[in-house]
Formats: sequence, C-alpha cells, structure tokens
Amino acid sequence: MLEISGVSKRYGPVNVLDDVSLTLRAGEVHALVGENGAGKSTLVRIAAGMVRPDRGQVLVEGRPLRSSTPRAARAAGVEIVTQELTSVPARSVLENVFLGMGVAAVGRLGRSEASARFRKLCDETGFVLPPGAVVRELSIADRQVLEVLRCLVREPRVLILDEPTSSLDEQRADQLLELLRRLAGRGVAVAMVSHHLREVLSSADTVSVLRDGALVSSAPVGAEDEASLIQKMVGRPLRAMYAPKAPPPEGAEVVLEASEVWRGNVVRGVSLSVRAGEIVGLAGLVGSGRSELARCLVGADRLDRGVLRVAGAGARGFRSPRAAGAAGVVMVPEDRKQQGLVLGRSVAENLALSTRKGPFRWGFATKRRMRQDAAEWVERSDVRPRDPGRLVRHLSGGNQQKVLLSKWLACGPRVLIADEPTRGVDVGAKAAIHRMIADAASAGIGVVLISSELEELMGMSHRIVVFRKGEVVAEFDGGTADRERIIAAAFGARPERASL
Amino acid sequence: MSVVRQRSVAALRPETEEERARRVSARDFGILVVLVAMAIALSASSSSFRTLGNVANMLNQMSWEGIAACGATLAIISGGFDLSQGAVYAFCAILSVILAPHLAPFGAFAVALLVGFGFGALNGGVIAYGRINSFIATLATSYVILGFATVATGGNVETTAVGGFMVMNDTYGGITIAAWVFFVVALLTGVLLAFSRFGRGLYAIGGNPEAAHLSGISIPLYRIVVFGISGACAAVAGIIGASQAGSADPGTSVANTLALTAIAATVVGGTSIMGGEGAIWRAVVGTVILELINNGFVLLNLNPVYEDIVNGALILLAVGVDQLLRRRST
Repeated sequence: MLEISGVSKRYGPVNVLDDVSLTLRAGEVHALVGENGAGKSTLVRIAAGMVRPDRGQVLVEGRPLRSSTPRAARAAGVEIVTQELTSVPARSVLENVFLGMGVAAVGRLGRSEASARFRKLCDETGFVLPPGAVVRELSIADRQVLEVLRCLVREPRVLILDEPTSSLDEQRADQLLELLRRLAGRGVAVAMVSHHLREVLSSADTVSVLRDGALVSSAPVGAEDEASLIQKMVGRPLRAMYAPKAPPPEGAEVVLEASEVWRGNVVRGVSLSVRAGEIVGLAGLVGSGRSELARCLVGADRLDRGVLRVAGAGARGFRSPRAAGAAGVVMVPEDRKQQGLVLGRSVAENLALSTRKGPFRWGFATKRRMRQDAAEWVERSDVRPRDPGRLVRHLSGGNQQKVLLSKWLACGPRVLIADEPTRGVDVGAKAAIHRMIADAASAGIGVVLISSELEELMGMSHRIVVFRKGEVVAEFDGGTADRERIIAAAFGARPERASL
Repeated sequence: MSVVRQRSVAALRPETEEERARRVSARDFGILVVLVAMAIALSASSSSFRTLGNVANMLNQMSWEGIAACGATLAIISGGFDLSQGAVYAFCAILSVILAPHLAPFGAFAVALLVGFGFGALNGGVIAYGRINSFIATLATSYVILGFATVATGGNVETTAVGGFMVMNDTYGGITIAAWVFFVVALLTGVLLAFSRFGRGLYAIGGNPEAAHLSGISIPLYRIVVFGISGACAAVAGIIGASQAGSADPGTSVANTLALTAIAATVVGGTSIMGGEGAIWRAVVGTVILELINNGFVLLNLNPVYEDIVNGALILLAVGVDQLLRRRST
C-alpha cells in the first residue's frame, strides 16, 4: 500500500536515516521500534509528507507522492497521528475533528451532519468524546484520542501513529490497539511507532527495528519476543532491566507524611508516608489523582484539607514550589518540555535554576563557573554529549530527562517525587534514569515514583500504592506484588484494600 | 550497559566543534555583520561619517533610546512588553525639571529615577497579581502616567535654568555624559542578564514560565523587578532628554514613540520577541543600526521623509533573517 524506498535524511551533521526501505501492506499492523534518536519519528514523518527526504521517495500504491507535503500525502489517503498535539485548544471537539475538511465541504457539511458523522465515528471506534467540549479543557489522554479521531474521520487508507498510547492509561491503550486491529481487518495499512514492546508483540503483525537510522530487521511478530527486540534495538542483549532493590534500613525516619489530603474532586483523602531510602510507587490509571497529589505535595497546587509533614515538622502544605524546595521536597514533573526544562537555554543554566546556591556568589557567576558547576552533574548522570553549554533543545529526550532529574538531585532533596520520569525515553536512558533514582534512594532520599508502566513500578518500588479516582485503594509490597492484582485494584475490579 | 550508552550517542553523533562554531556564529552574530557592512558603506560614501565628531554625536543622540532599549530587552526576554516607557520618560523628565530648583539637579535626577522604578514596579505588580497581559496593562498605565504629567504641568512646557542641570551635554573624554550613562546602563543590565541568578530566572520565565514556577522561582517578584528596571531605564532616558534640552514637555512626541522604538531596537538586534532568548549587546547593536540609518540620511542628504520606510523595512528584514537562520540551525 505504502512503500518507502531508499530514504535518507540528514539534519546538519547527524545522519538520521540512511537508505531505509519499508513496505506497509494493506490489512496489516506494522510496528516500528527502536531507541530514541533511531530515526523512527523522522521516518514516519517522511511517509506522511511532513519532512522532505534528502534521497529516496515515498510511493502510495506504486505512485510517488506529488510533493513532500502533508497535503499531498493526505490526498493519497495517508494520515498521521504525531507525538505532538495538533488540535486547536480554544475550539470544540467537533470543530477540531472536521478542521480542514470544512474548507472543502462548506455548505454540504452542515453542523447537524457533522454531529451525526461524529456520533457514527464514536460508535465505530468505541471512543466517546463530548462533541461540544472545548479542547483546552480536555485531559491529555482525551486530546490524544481526539488526534486519532481527527485522522479517522478522513477514512485513510494508510494510518500512521507515532507513540499513540504514551499518554493513555492501560484501558484506553488497549481500546486503541483493538481499534487498530479492526482497521487493519478492514484493509487499512496501519503503522505504529511504539516504546511498549508488550503492546507491539500483542497487536502488530510485522515489527521493524530501526537502529541509528538504519533498518535492522523487519519480521513477522511471531518470530520475535521482548528479548530479541531489545537485542536488535541496542545491538546486544540487555541482561536484567532492573537491579535488585536495596531495602530501606530498618526503622528509617519517615521523611514525608501526608494525611487525609484533599484537593477538589481529584485527590480524595489520601494518606501516604515515605521513609528515608524508600521508593514508593504510585500505580493507577491516568487521571486517578497521582499527579494531582504530587502537585499538592510540592505546593504547585493548594491542599483543600489535610496535613503534610516533612521529616516530622508539621505543615499545612507548602505555599509554593519554592517553599517546598526549601524544605527539601522536589518534583520531577510529568511533562519535561512544558513543565520541566527551559529548552532554549543551556544544560548548565537549567541545572542552575533550581539549586539553592548553585554556582552563584552574591547572586552572580561567570559562564565558566556555571559550566564547571554543571560538568559534575553532566558526568554523574551521563548526559550525552558531555557539553554543559549545549542547548537543552538539542538533546535527545532521554538526555533531557537526565538533565531534569539532575537538576533536582543537585538540590540535595530529602524527598524526590518523580512523575513519569521515563516517559518517551529510550531503553538505554531509561536504565540510566532508574539507576539514578535507585542511587538517590540508597543515599537516603525518600522517593515517590509515579509511572504508567507497571513493570517499572514493580521493578523499582519497595512499596506500591494503587490509586483509583483520587483515593488509595490498595497497597502492595514491591517484592511480591503481582501484575494482575495491581491492575484489578486500579480498575476497581475487586476490593483489595490493605492487602499487604 | 555501556553498549547501550554508546548506541544512543552514535545516533546523536555530536557535530564537530568546528561545525558547531560555524552554525552558532552564523545565527548569533549575523546581525554584527549587518552592522559592520552598514558602517563600511557609510564611511565609503561619506567622508564626514568617519570623523570623531560624528561618532560622538551619534553616541549622544542614541543614548536615551539605547537606555530604553536595554530596559525593553529585559522585559521582552522575561516574556513581557513595557509600553509605558514613553509615558515614564515624559513624567520623569518633567519631574526632574520641576524638582531641580528644590533638590539641586542630582537630587532631582535621583528622585526621578526612583519614581521611574516605582512606576515600573507598579506595572509589574499589576501584571503579576492582577493577571493582566503586560501589553494591555502597560498601555493602560501609560495613559495614566502621561495624564498625571499633563495635570502636573497644566500641559505646558516646564523649563529650568538651575546651574548644572544640563550636565548631560558636558563632555568627558570626547563624548557626552549622556553617552557615558548609556555605556554604564548597558554594562550594568548586560552583566545582570548574563551573569546573575536573576538573569537565569528572566530567561526561564520568558522561555518556560511553568517550569520556572515549578523550579521555585517567584514569578511575581521577578515581574515587579524587571518592569521596575524597565521603568528606571525609561526614567534615565527622560532625565537625559530633560537635561539635554533644559526643559520638559508632556506633549513631546517621544512619549508616544519611545516604547516602540525601544522594542524595534531590541528586535533588530536579534532578541526574540517571543521571550526567553536575547541579550543586552543585541539591544545596543539594534540601537546603533537604527542610529546609523538616521545618520546616513543626514550625511547623504537623503530626503528624511523616507527614513521611516527604511526603518520599517529593516525591522521586517531583521526578524525575517533571524527566523530563517533559526529554522536552518534546528
């Protein structure tokens, strides 16, 4: 259906893609895996006409695209769901779904007809969004679903999705994967970039591995398993993803204690305690109140009710992230680009932003001093390239995340709250980040780890607390927790309160 | 493990130092090339351009605009606009003239400077706590401030003959005190922006306010201080204006144009209008370029009617080239 033939692309000195050929067949779900920076996103962007290749071409049903523009690709029936949200925040769901189509369909596609078509779309896909809702007010997960609906309404023959499930909870992710299978069954060629090997193995027909801009393999999914894919992605087998956990010392001091914390409708009477050296994992669906609790803990949002104690000192919650930081409670926010880093500034400057003293004397420091100060952390957290003067924008996602984590570890916190610290990060960087977090814990920092990946939570945490609809519904020992019971608790399938 | 790391590095193979240096300089210092080219063209076409007297004259003329541009640059980098600079200019000029007989010139200048900072800080407070867009907030306060200036003078020109009031016209080392003040202001704001913790915070709140807030930066405090500095810069510009003329007038055209001229100089120099990127030296370069155009029209006997057209075209060109270089380098 869609054929990518001999495509190469350079960005400046970096060879992003080198002579890659790939065929997407009708009726097939084709997964594309690889580390960050392997060229997956660039490849699918080229297929969708968003990026012009230096060499090679894209053919749809044997005919080359007229030009490397999204318009030409769209005319050929190719739709892409990118990692970025592209909907218009201030307009309604309905308007966004039909955006761009209205131009061609003025007059014919009236409002009522649009509503009817949208309802039909919802029925077919099983995803329900309120058509009149303003997109700005939707959750990230709902906006991600909207991106998919926007493509489907055009009835594409080739549907490409770049990490479509990264901001979805497990239920919706499964729902989406099921939908992709159904589309393939109807003869659509589906291509999907993913970091989740399990979803790849369970949903795809063919899986292709990219490494350093080259196609390493392309094989039916039956011929692969997690280990073989990882091996191809990194070039050598990874033995254990998770190091054995060092348990926190007996009778370690409680560094963070929240009791009966309330915040509107999203955090409902949560109590949580974290001891020095302990990693407490928060499991739950997207929107179950974990990130909202985290924001309350660091003073980004106010508590409505409840008590927060840091290392025994009583407090009614922090007034601001500034106050929380001064007390030693810091948060690595879930969205590094929106909430974490100043992309247009250097690594050194980003590291200097949060540290209380940092390289400054009397509030001033030379560039040289700032870089020297940062060099230690760049080294320690293995940020590549090892250049504190590099703009954060020019780092890969994994390295950005290392900078973000370093920025907070450099403050010498007592409590570290890490919200999705490895989202959208490649396998190598993920292992490095896990090691940084484990090291922080063994140095006596109390860690709260929020993750949508159960494997990560189970691999890292000493204790796993499960959230559902703003409440703590279950707690498991990190060593003996089992996947099914955690999922069941998160979905509210069975009451499992305090089943240690 | 180590293999994994090597992989991710190879995928993002760092460019060589040489390549990087070339790319960075093309983007960062392209505007300097424009400046030098203009200077060379002018010296080639007019022998009087090269005289020390003309250079000193240019420095004197651009001093107050340049000072305002330094303040505007800080505000723009922090993600705000200060449209009240012209009004603060007029108010502080008048204030220094009125106070000069009572406080001696330097006392009057000091009070005017503090009042300028106060107006600016007030702007910052309104923006931060009232959650009003800086563009609108400073537009509104500029009417209020200019209104006060008109009320205080009854709409008349205020003059003073106090000795030493016109100190800005005195020369030291071949250039006027006004030009020296410009250097000092550019140096102070430049060091503050490039080397202080405060400067890091300005870039952060302009580049990513949410991240800055979560990093423990007090955004309201920063807004108050940065608009305070912008107001103080406008006040210094006003003091120079009053001192050069020995009088001040609430109806001066500068009251309406200063803020926009300062923004123009900032942007021509290459500071991003979106906030989060830029530098004080860029404000200086932008000011010099605008002054060169002005000077060129005089020296080459061109019809000054066309000057605004050239200025406008230049601003579009500067921003367009800036965008082009940015797109290519990322």
